[in-house]
Amino acid sequence: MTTESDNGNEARGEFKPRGTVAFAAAFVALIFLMWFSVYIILLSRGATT
Amino acid sequence: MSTEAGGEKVRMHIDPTERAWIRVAIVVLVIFALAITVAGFMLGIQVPTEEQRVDPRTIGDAAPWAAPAADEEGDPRIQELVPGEKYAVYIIAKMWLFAPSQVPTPESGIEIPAGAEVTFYVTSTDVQHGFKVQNTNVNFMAVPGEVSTLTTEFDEPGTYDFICTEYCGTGHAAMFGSITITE
Amino acid sequence: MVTETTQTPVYTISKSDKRFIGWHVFFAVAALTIGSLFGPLQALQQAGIDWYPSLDFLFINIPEGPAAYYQGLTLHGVLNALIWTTFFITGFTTLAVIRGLKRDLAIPIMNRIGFWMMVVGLVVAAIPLLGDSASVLYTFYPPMQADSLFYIGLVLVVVGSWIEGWGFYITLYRWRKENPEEKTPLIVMAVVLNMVMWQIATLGIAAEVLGLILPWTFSLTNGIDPQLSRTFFWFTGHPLVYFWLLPAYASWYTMLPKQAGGKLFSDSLARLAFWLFLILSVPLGFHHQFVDPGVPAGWKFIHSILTLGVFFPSLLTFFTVVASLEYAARQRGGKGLFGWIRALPWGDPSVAAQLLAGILFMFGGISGLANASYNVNLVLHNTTWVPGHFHLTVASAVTLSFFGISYWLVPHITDKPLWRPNLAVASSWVYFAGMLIFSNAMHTVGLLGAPRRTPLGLAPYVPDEWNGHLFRVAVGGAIMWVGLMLFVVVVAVTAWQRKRFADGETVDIPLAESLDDPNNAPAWLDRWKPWLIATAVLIILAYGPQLLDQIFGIELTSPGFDPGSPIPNN
Repeated sequence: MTTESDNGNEARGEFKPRGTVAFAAAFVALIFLMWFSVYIILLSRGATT
Repeated sequence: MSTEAGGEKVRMHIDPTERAWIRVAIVVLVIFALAITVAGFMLGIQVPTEEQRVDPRTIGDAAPWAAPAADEEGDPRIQELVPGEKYAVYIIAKMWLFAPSQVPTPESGIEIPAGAEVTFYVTSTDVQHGFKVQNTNVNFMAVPGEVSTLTTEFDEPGTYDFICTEYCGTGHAAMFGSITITE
Repeated sequence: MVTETTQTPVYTISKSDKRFIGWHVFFAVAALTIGSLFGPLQALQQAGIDWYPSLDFLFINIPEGPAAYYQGLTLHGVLNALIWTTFFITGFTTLAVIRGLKRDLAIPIMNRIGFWMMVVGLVVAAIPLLGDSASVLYTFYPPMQADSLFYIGLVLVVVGSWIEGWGFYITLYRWRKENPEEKTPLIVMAVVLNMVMWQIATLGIAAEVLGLILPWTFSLTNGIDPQLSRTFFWFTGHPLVYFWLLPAYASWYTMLPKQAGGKLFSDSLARLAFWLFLILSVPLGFHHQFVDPGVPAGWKFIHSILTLGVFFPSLLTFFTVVASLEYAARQRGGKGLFGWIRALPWGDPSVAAQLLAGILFMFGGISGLANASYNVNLVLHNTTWVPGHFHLTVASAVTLSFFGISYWLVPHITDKPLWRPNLAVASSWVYFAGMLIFSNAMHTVGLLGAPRRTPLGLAPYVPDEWNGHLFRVAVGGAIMWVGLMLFVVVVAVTAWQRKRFADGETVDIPLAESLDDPNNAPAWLDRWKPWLIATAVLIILAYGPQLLDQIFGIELTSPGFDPGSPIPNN
């Protein structure tokens, strides 16, 4: 168990999730694009109280 | 983020990229929280709030929701508060029509001049309904026992449909009305 | 991976437990098969095509016109969203608990009683559903009134799931007593936590049905309070979504990395995410009531912010799961900033289904963010955007993941190899393609103002600009159905074929190791008490004042209505 997890921690030290960072950046851009497109429709329809 | 475990202090290990992502996630969510706060409390785009409780069994016959008598002049359900500027419309939603409404039978037409502010007061006398004025932010539930209300300004002349957006029985798909905005 | 049959199992589940889990899957898939028959009919109805008469053989009373649409929509919602999910989840949880703890259930008879109570509930509810006397949709908003058998059936299903839950809690409790030095395996923590959250969340629907609806249906009260009913319903209604989702997350965290050929990127953060789901899933139900007249706007705003909060553990999950997959892909020789995605084992039906589930869920998460955003919800409340959204969550993230789980689980519990793995891969792709078309069209036409829950083929107010999108709804819905039927055929033939694994061959439950050592995680990630206290406190703060206000202001004024008539019952 201990040796396994030590290996694991080493492996993790070498592994940099670069692809994940790129994928996440694209996801965040998509989130903003889609959310704000609905938000703009809301604002264009004016005050509602 | 640390605690005692088996006499040894164990700290939670978080990968640096994941730590950065946590920050990004929080920033993203804070931006949305700010955006809805700005729209709600600075630009005045609000959701309905508590208005008034009523008895769904009798409210359809009570003023100002009751239909006008045959000899009555005008319609008490469409009130001109400030001519050309402020109007109030009282609507009953019931299986499967809105009253007043121009359709399906022009029981009474709703006509408002462009640029005026209109407040809708809607309640149901039977099951739950929805009330959505197309191409505006007016969109709420009509719940028996409660009055729903929102105010909006109609700038563009034309016909605006208001449709029932909650399942209210077999006739639901045909339940709609419209409001005419004149020049 | 699914066909990898040579490894020696670490722990063998008993024949009787395998059969017990198999019954869960059987009822789940049967419900999904029947419930999904209506899906394409609803979609076609949006384009003005009425194929309902082809299903007349199913019904006790044959409904006509819109009544057929609503009976079908009720069956679709109840069977797919409530029955397929609950039965599959309790079955999967049984397997995960036994295999994760390498231990039998503490009181096996308790889980069996709970399960068969759910089956009885399903049968009892099916009678009025098929007889067109409970066409009230799966939200059954009063004062629309169904036959009392419908509510009684639902109560039995929910209470049955509670009893199964108690069986799991007791099993985990015994295991922790027996193994004081060991951390609870992540998979077990995740699925048991899900049952605990469900138990807390369903108190709302229990209060609604037992406290308001049944007394009213049996005429013990003259009326019902529709607003309070809605508040109780949505106390349960939103956490219900997380009850469906967390088992899929559990599979993504604890199994998918292994199936993809890698390891879980972070065990500690996975645990943190699950605890956050426990405390945040319930106290945010008012975001389904943003446009209700009887809830003050201030409470709606607070629940909106809390809903944004529950996106945080989902965003954590996104990163950890993608990073685990990237690690697996790099181990398999994947190269490039995005090229590694191609190196994942797309030929494995279980992996392909779950990867496609994750992709669709990214879009579902985004449209969910819009739903949860207070005033933004005005643009899309009760439009087709909303079913467009939840077909990306429950019908994609959850359902496609359950397809993927089934592709190893059914061979595991039947000791039979998966029939036609290529067809299994195809099922997910066909379903995925249909869902992309369907959900995109539903979101778009929703923004244009099309109402949900409406046979738009019959509506008089449909403008021309909706028609192209409604046609795409019909096409997408029909394609999804083909993919779903491929799944049903693959699973059914697998279970009923004569071919068996040779002696010693088996498919083990794919449990992933973690890149960080779970025993290195801080102890507060393995303690229940502080998190349960936090859950209770947050619910009391977020719901207490407004709930008490509505309870003390109760007005039992609404008589019941049949969906077919404006004349009240009684």
